[in-house]
Amino acid sequence: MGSMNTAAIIIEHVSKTYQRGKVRRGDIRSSMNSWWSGMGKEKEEFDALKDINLTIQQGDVVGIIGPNGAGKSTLLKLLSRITFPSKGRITIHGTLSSMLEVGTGFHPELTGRENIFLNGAIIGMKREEVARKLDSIVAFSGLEDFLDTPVKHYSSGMYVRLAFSVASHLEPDILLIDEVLAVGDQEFRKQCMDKMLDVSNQGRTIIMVSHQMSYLKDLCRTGVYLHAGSVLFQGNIDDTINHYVHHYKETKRTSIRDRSDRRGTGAVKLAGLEILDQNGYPLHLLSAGSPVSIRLQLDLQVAIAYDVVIQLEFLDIYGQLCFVANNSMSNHSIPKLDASQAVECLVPKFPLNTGTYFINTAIYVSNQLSDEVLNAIDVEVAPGLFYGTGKLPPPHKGLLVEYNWK
Amino acid sequence: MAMTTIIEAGSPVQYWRKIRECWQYRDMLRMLSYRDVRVRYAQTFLGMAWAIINPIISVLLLYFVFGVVVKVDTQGVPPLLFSMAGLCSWNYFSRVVGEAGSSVIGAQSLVKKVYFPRLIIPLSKSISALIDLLIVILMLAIMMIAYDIPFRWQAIMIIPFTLMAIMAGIAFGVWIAALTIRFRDFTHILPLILRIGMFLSPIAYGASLVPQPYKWAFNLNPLTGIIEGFRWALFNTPLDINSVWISLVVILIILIGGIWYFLRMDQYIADII
Repeated sequence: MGSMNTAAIIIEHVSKTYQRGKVRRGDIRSSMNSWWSGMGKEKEEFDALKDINLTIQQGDVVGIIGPNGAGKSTLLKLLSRITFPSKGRITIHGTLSSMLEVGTGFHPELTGRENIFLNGAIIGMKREEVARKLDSIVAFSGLEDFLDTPVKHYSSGMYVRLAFSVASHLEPDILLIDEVLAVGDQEFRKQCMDKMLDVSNQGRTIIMVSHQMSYLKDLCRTGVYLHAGSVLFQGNIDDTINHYVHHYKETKRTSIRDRSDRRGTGAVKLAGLEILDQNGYPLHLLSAGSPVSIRLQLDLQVAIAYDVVIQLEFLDIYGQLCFVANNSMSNHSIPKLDASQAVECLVPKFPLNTGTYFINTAIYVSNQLSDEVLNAIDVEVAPGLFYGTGKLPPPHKGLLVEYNWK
Repeated sequence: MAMTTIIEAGSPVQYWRKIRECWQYRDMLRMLSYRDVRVRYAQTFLGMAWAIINPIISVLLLYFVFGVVVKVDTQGVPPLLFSMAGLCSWNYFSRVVGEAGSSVIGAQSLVKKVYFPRLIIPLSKSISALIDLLIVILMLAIMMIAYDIPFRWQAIMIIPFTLMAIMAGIAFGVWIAALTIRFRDFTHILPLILRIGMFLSPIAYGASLVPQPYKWAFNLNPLTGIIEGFRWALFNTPLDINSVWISLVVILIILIGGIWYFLRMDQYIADII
């Protein structure tokens, strides 16, 4: 502490450009894109970050806020040197570690103890350091009795506890955290939060990304609001959150037709998206297990469009893909479209659990991406009678599937 | 503050810094190798047994084809031992190249989530495969005792030849790893290359059998010097020392080139993978 005026990180004119179609082979969307368009024909560029300038003070706890696709993760990846900027310069004073995912490199066949050493080494700890901290790591996880059990026998909760315990024993000058607090049980979350606050009290710089505003509000001192690859606001955390909420509501008011953050040839464009109940009335809140219709208004910009494929992706607030609805997969093909019209996707029993979800839409015409709108709409799901009992797993935990017991 | 890192777009690749970084991450290198060995062998009972069964079957096959059917001249060495000595460095080499080739792609989740010098992924394969080499060498030693082959002090020389095999494994492994990231086709090309390499290396036959006009090309195969060297160290078979030097030079050129190519690509790996 005391050196609040020294910069820990200076970011000058940094841009990151990805070449679409060529990058991210591992991810579902791009592999499907390249599958449809015949192995990455499209090579349009897309800026994940555009000319970012930021200075982060030493000892600050900074929350990065922004909608999906704003460039938050890209920023963390640049800072942690996982990927390299296309333009600009980043200066980092001090050692930096990132917790972009806890438990990276964990192997199910290895024991808890072995995984502590493996994961420690992967996230950049020296062997002696791990050995010295082993007792503390084990005590933090509360898994003393399972230390020599292969991790494959752990429950997912235990797995996360162990992973977080190793990661939280890192002692870098700068720590990057990406949505890791979203895991684990309530009590353990509190323990982690305390550990992090403890860390921040030592004058360490912390930069974190989360969708959970309440965490950021509690933990961070300042905030950065990213939108579509640009910094829209930087200031204290409360102001940043207010700014975000205000701006976000405004972007939602602009109809999908007017949105500019889309890509594709534009032959057929998404003009509107509504969620309706079985009687055709708009739904503001839908309940798990109820029949739902997603109505897409398509705008035809060419005379005739052949072979129209519409894909809806449902993602949770962490950006995890929950399910995909695609008319060509379910064999409801649209061979020809000669007028603007509405298309409906009927989900007889909505399979998502309580929580907030986003829908990404993509329209393909003759195997070419025509219009993609990320986060076209967000959906609030309330508890419902999926199983007829009113009982459901905890919010955001898993998909709902019909089953029978014998 | 003690340490300042500058990341600048378009700045030239700092090769030495990246190589030094691999040394700084030696604990990770060690743990990755350890993980590979543990997972491969400690997992099941058969796991460990395969490390013995595999080379035995290969040796018996070579023995049958070259020792029983073709009856290749083995320079006075029992044909079984002759093939086995030839096979041990080749097996190590092909295992390293095979595993290193797909290693970076196989470690996607790591590469996309943490920073570390990516070079240590293929490097770790050269270490974990040493276990297999050791097992074959032990089997060979047992066979030599069974066949009553006298022990010679020059057997110590298998250590420098093993080092050459490690370097050769890394050299080709790093090349294939880097090329596979760029062009996935290499996952199909690699088995082909290895199969060709196996027949063009003097595993079950001696290099002396290669006709003079082809000799220079044969010697360019870096495995030639290593395999012949192994047999010379163990059985005192004639060794063309020039072929060893040629192998060494070829290996060094490929090694330096491979590391250079890999490091040049290093910063894009997370984007392309």
